[in-house]
Amino acid sequence: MQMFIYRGTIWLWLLVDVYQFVMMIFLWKSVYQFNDTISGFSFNQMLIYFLATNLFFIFTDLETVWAMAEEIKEGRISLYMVKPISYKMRLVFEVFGRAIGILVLLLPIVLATGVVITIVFDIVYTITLWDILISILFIPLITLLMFEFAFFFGTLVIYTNNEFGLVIFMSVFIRIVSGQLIPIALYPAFLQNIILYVPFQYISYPPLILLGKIGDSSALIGLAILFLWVIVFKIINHFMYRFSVKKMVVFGG
Amino acid sequence: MRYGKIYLIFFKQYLKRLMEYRVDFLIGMFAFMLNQAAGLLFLYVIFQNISNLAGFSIDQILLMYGLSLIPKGIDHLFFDNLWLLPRIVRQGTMDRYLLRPVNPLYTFLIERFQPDAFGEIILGSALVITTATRMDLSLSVWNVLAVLLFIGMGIFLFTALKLITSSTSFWLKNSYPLMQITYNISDFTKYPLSIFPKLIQGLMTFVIPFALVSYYPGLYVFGRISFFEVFSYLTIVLFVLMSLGLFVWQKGLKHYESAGS
Repeated sequence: MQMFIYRGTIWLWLLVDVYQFVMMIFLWKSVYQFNDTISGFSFNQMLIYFLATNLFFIFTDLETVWAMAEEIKEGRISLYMVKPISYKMRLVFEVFGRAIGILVLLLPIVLATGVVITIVFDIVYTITLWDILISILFIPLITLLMFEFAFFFGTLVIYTNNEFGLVIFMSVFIRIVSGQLIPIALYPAFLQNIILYVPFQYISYPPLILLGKIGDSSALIGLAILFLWVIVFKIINHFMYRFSVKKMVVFGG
Repeated sequence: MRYGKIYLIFFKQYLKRLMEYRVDFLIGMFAFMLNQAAGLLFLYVIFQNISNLAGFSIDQILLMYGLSLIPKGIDHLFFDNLWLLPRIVRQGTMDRYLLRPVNPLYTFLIERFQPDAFGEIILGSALVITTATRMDLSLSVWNVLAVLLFIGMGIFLFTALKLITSSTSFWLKNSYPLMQITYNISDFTKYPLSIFPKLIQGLMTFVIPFALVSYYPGLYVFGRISFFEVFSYLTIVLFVLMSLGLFVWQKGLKHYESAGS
């Protein structure tokens, strides 16, 4: 609900998102002047890719780190820890709540932009219902993965004061390895090899599935691997948090 | 003179803090470097597929990018406190600065020194130096001085924009998104202005004039436009933005209503 307090802000954000997307279109247009396809992506596919990635990036929310940093620094975390719902659980629900809130706002804009570029650039889609279903299945897992990742960094605030630097660091890292910056297929080979071993590439799976770049079977395998990663992160965080909370010092009563 | 002395005192305090939290400093610097590195990676990947973007080679684009990073970094180094203005207005702690017998804007600005910015400054300088030597530009001393002047003026361009957007918090209470947006748009300065349509070109030259710190000085270095063209644009825009910034700040201070009790 917090975000609806400053409604003017939201409109401003949306406006800028659209503006940035338009700038992006011009950039790619001048890049595609020399090539018809780049690493298998045509100009139209590139546009759809970025549009869809923007939408799916809603679920990679890093607010958790800010919230934890504030609560740890001010010591309010101890108030939450004595409540009958676990501290982590509360944060998870906040993440999902925020994601749904933003989705409600952004979905119409993305769809509208999609319609406009479809007409302007004369795009033909070949999306099956099955593709859409699998893509949707990815959403809760991506959200959980990112939450665990953010929670890990949030715990680190106990040790450092520069949470701002941490958040910048993580968000840039995610942008690079998830394919939000540019489709992973375009990266040089050595970078692709590294990215293969971290789970964040699955964040760009849904857009790729929708573009027909990833087959049904590899999509399902990706889904399974992502699920395993979420569990691995959960276990790491479990111990990390238990260990770190003991180190934390909260002043006053 | 007095102002200089105050600055020294603040700066000493700051250094003490920095020594206390050394890891924080490293995290911050590294984070900002990585942030810029992501932008470079994007350019690198694109240039794997094309040989030039709107007639500019990768070296030329990197040079322009480096030229814009230096003033951006220096502004970030000295005037970062403006980012905190929205919070200070909301919490009513602005009173502190108003009570001091020095110009409130001055004491407010010097309160924070942000070494995270070294990431940008180092990277920017490295880019400019390496690309300039690789391209074998024949630059005279006069050219170098001119570029330094443009960089110097560029610093205040960034500061003025930040002052304008952050001062709106006296009315809006939360001007943070507005600042963030201006900052985001500055990301597009890496690309040559000529790939965008006329409307956006105008916007980037006169309204949110980030092109004045990268594209135009770049053109000057390549000998495509004259010194006076860049200089006159910069002077006019900088003068207007600075006056506007100070005006909004002054108006804002009068409108400032502190908090509670």
